[in-house]
Amino acid sequence: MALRDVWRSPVFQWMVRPWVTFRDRFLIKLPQRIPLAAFLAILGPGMVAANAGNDAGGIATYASVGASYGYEMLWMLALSTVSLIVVQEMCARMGAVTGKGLSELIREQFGPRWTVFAMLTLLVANGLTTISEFAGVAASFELVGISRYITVPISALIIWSLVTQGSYVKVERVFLVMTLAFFAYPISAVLAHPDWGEVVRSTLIPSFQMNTEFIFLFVATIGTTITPYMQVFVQSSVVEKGITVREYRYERAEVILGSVFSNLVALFIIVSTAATLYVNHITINTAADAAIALEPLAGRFAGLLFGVGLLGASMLAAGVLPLATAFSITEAFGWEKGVSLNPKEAPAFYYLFTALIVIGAAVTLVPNLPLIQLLLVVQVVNGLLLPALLVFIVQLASDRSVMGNYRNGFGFNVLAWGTVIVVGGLAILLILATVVAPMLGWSPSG
Amino acid sequence: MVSSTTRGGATVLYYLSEVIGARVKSPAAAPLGTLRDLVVQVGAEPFPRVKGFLVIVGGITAPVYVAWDAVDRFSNRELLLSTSRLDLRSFERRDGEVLLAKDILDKQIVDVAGRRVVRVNDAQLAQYQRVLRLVAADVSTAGFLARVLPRWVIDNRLQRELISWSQVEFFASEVPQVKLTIPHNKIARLHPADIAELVQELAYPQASEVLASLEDDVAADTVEELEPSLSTAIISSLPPEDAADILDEMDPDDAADLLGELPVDQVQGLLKEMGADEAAQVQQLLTYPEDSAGGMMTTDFVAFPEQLTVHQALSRLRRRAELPDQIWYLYVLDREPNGRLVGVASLRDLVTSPPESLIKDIMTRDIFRAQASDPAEEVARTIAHYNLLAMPVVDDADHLLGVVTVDDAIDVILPEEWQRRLPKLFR
Repeated sequence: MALRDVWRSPVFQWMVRPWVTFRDRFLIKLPQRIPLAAFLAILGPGMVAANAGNDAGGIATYASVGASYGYEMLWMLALSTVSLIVVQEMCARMGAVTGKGLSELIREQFGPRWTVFAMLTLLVANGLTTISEFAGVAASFELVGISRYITVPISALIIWSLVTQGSYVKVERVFLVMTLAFFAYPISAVLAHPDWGEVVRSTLIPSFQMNTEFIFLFVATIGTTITPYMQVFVQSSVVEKGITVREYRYERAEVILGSVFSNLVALFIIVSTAATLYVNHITINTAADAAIALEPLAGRFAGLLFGVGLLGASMLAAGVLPLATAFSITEAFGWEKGVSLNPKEAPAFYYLFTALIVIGAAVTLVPNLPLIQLLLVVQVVNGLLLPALLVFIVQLASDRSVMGNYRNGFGFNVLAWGTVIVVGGLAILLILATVVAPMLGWSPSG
Repeated sequence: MVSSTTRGGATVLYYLSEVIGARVKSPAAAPLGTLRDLVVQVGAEPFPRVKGFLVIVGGITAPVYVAWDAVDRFSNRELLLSTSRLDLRSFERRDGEVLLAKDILDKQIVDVAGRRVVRVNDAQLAQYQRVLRLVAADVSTAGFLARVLPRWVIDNRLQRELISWSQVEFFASEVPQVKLTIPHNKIARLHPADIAELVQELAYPQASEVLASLEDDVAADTVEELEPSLSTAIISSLPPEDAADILDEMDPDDAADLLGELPVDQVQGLLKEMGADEAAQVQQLLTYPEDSAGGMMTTDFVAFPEQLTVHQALSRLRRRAELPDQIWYLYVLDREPNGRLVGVASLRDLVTSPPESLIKDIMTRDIFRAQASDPAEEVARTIAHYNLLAMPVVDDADHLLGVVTVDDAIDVILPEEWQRRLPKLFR
């Protein structure tokens, strides 16, 4: 099964090596028989999920945040890091305690009607995110002038056949190496000489603007930092790896590290775009604009570097996302699933998987569709749907009959429900500002 | 409307989805509340008997308990009670009591006859005379839809798929609030390879529950067939003494592979609980790197000194309490104990030779041997190339350390999918 192999691939293991050293302090090694595989097995899932957050939509959102508001919105990245840790920790803990996926738990505890609701939410969120990954593919090739009408259908076909043949894992390493291009952001940020004092100040002190664009970007940032599918993914991966409550303390450390790490990369994306684009009053309309942020490091190769990273991240998620979605949904309804079965044995699984890829690719091909705006809108929809899934997650994680002694404590629940309320409140605020306010003839300044 | 006033032998069948939400009425037909759940007693009978109902009474949030005896007429639309007095204290479960809707619906069960893990979408109840029983689990999509869509949309037009409750195993670990003893003897009758296939689809708490209920040797055979991620999860979640019993029964090399995946503090705890012999063997094996001949070998083998006669060797074999899974090759040492490996005799050689002949006269002296540090893949390829059933592993002084058998060699060479199609050679 290809999903499981994602976190087994050597490149992931290589990427997480720094954390292995960290992990070494927690475990004493057995003589000679180095349980490196064991470390990585426990260490992998959170890192994968964390890094997957910085996909095409993530890059576009963080770059837009930096280009439109400079350092001003950094504080919400810090805030959403805390929320991300809280949410991922709950999902990882549920996986370790119950050995079950999120959709299975929703089915077992809330019954069929709520399951249908939750799965529709997940389907919409993941379906749109799949579209955004193909938009990322299109945007990256358009940087070098190749039309999306050639690249998107071909890449969709490649992903579909690789995953269904079970050989996605072999190619995936290539995509993973490509995403290393994003490590150019921290270097580029330093070379752009940002005002570090301002960076620190904006990260710690909140400021808010009551206009539609600001709220829009706020919701997009949350939607891309705490992506609905990532939470499902981290829980399934903990289950697949056979992590039990006894090993859970390592998993918790990893969730925290992974969340901090992925959002640190996000911070550098914002800082480097702020120091290059915002100061020159350039807003992001195309991928070429976003690539300018890498110019301090890569000069005239900035576009190429950005394109390589974007393509890697997009292809990676475009394969994993439809697969994980098809898994979750068939699991919730108790249908046959997995690429080890053939389409006759697992029809629903294959229909879902194929439909997600076909629709994802087809929408990207709508003529004159502005790709960057599409990426942002998808993150906003993710942000709007997130509260619905969070309510399930927090309730399950606090349920004594599910979690026993590992259920949320009071203090933890304050944080968890706080996240739900803030995210939900922002979603309502955005709907008010974009839908209700114009109908009342009131236009928020912006 | 289906009525419960059945004469003679008529049995009335209901779906749980129809029954939930039925109106509960007093003898004078005054509405008292709605039916929330059914309480059954599990463990005693193959088709559990309904003991009572949970009823939501207007104005009270917690459901109240109504015993089956207090029900005069039962149907899928309404429950006519023989008394209008209800005990309004909130319901507390007793041991062995399971709530049909809360604990069984939507949970995974094992369909033992079909050898598969399925999710319960609906359940079927049968009323015969004055007794209502749970008789079948419905695993069809129709059963699921019946609970999502309004009743008139479905209206029993779709085909249901029912599994007799006598063919079902469900899990006490799904109902942690009460103490349940479920023997799982239906699963225990299956072949370990089939048990492993079923267990593989379960979450680890339920998988552990199944394994804990099996005999240690069956559990050990089952664990050996599981994917490493699940077998480590099971071993680490079982009580250490139970886990150690299973590890004792496993092939030492498989036990070592499994322990190699666990954190050190757990491994030490388990080794302490294991039998001294088994623990020593496993500990020895744990010192070799995983991808070496040492990491692949088993310490479970048969060796004789070369001075023995065939007769003596055979009677030694007979007297040994436990023989390894495969004994085609019997290793020959120059002396006992701590002898050097000088040859190998096959079981065929032993059986076909005169009883008084000496082992050293019938053995083969020219044999393939591996060093403990040799790469696993190289050893596996040698075994495959020369069609060996096993290959001895020795140290620098030619002392026999262990044996790499062909089944472990296959694991190294062949990808996973191929392995599944191969028949188990030695089990």
